[in-house]
Amino acid sequence: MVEVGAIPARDFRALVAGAGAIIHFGRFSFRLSSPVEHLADEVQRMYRHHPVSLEGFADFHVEVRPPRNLRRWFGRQLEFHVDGSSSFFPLPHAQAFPLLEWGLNWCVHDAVKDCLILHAAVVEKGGKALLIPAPPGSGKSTLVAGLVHHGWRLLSDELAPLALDALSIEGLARPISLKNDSIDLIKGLAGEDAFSGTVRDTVKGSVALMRPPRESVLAVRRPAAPVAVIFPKFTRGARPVHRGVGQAAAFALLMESAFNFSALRRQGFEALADLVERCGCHEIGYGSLDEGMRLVEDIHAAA
Amino acid sequence: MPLPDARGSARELLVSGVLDPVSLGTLSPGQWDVLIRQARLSRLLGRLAVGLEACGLLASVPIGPRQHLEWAIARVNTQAEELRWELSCIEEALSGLDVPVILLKGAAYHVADLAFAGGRLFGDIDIMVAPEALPRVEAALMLKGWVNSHHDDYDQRYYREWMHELPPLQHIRRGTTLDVHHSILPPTARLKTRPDLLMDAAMTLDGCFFRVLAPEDRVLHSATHLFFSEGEMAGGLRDLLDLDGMIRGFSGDEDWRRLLLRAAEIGLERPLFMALHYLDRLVGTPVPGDVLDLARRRYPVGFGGAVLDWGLRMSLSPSDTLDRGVHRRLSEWLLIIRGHWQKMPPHLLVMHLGRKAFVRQS
Repeated sequence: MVEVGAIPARDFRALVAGAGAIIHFGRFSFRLSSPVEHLADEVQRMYRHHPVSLEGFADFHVEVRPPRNLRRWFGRQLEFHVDGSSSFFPLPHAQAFPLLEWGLNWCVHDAVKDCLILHAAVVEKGGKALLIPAPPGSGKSTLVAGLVHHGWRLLSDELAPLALDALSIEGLARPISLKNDSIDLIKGLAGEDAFSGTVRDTVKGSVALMRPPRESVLAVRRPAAPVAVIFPKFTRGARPVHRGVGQAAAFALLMESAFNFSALRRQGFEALADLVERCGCHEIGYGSLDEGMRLVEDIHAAA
Repeated sequence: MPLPDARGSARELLVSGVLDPVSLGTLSPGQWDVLIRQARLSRLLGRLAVGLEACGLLASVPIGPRQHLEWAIARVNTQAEELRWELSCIEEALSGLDVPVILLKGAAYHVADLAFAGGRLFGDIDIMVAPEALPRVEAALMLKGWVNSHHDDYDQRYYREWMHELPPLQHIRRGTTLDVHHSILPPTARLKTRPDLLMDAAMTLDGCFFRVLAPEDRVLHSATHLFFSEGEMAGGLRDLLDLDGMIRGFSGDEDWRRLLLRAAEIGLERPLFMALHYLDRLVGTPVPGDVLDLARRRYPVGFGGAVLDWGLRMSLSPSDTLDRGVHRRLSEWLLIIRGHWQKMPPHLLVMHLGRKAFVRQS
């Protein structure tokens, strides 16, 4: 299949404005339609290495467009539609790309029932994957972006699809969402070109997305075995600490971050129990990205 | 006046997929794309999936669409478990009252184990009790954690004075929603029925605390709900296929005679005839010729009838993400206006819509 980046920008815009383009991420795909040109451009840059097709089956039909009611006259706003119905409150025009990304997350965790979808990042090196769940603000994505820039493979930044036997995690390799100060920090490592435009004044502050490396996208269909769960906590200026987390405590924390836990009932419970029994569970605190990455490398080496 | 076509092909694919999965044969990836999406939009993905599985055809579906069908089956199974649990909680709250409690719609079809209920996905649970039992039922539910989800004084009044149900109750811990009805039509509606007769005829089921409406009353309620509620018909085709399933369960002339008599008795001939008209035209449900003639003669005539027919055909057909054009939006408006017109007399309607337009919800 052709990579998104291989299509001339004008043609891609026209596709997205017309019949839509089907972009594949891991075993899933979405058909994007939108009249918003800057969204098409941004998607093309951020999904540059992902395969694209023009017809056939797509998992999620997504549309980002202005509201069609009176709302459209009050400020420039956009809505996210999936399969023709909107599930989200409209957002300002400038937030088109984050809106698409948040909407796609919803599509995946609402629909998928054959794996447990955890709110967590997943990175892999040497065949050993780390699951990094964390509430917003804990510095998870920054840590992941740093690791990915240092030779780790990105499986996912936001959603970790854990197989129900808990033996493997699938990759999605979608863009990494960075906030506030992290944006400039990671731009310093990965360069300006890997980034979407920065959107200010979202509910999460300033947001920018980073394109996943091509190698991660090409290897996305190769699942990885989780060996450790790491709960990170970045606090500016804090000294690095590393503690083990008990299985029950890790289970409780992960349960809260599992989107489809109740829908999977017993299967979800057992998958999570197997995961915490099989993996070491850790909590790390750190005051700089380098310290955080060193703690992660240590855990990975010992696992 | 020629009216635009109502996306017959997507509907035909979906209807045949649900009613006769074998007839689908081999579909192209593009056709699967349309079928899965339309089925999800019409809330029929569960029925489609369960039907394909029952025929042993699921395994031969290409992997892309098959995932969605398998996920839908998982959803159906989870729903069945959750329904069982939720019903046991409602039973626990109400069993001490000695009040007959009737399940309506989705939950009733499941409990009565109707053939088409297997993969049917639905949202809330609806129950109906006699109007005089309402205060006791509401109090008993509140004791067990169901609370009013509409706090606004106006909303409370809207439901309590003009509607056929209490403001929706939400369970404080589980978040599940329960609609408690005392009739199947608002007291303000143009169409009048006899909820007391529906309750008298309700059936008990072996080993079950809840009752369900008699088979012909289920048809009449479903038709009334489909054609005479507020006009938001996103699940229109799903409800039409429910009716198809109920009517296919009829065994002969005697059942049809009872249905027609009952419709006349409780004042619900209009919804019945509209339902039969569209079942025949859009779904191909077997309806005896003389009954169909009767239904056709009673369908509204002239320009008004043609516009109504166009609006309803649009709504009873699946819509498409890329095809929510001006026609569909116009038809949605038309049906919402018609729905409200049916629901309230003009002075109440003007007050209600005025309030909803100008008073923003906090």
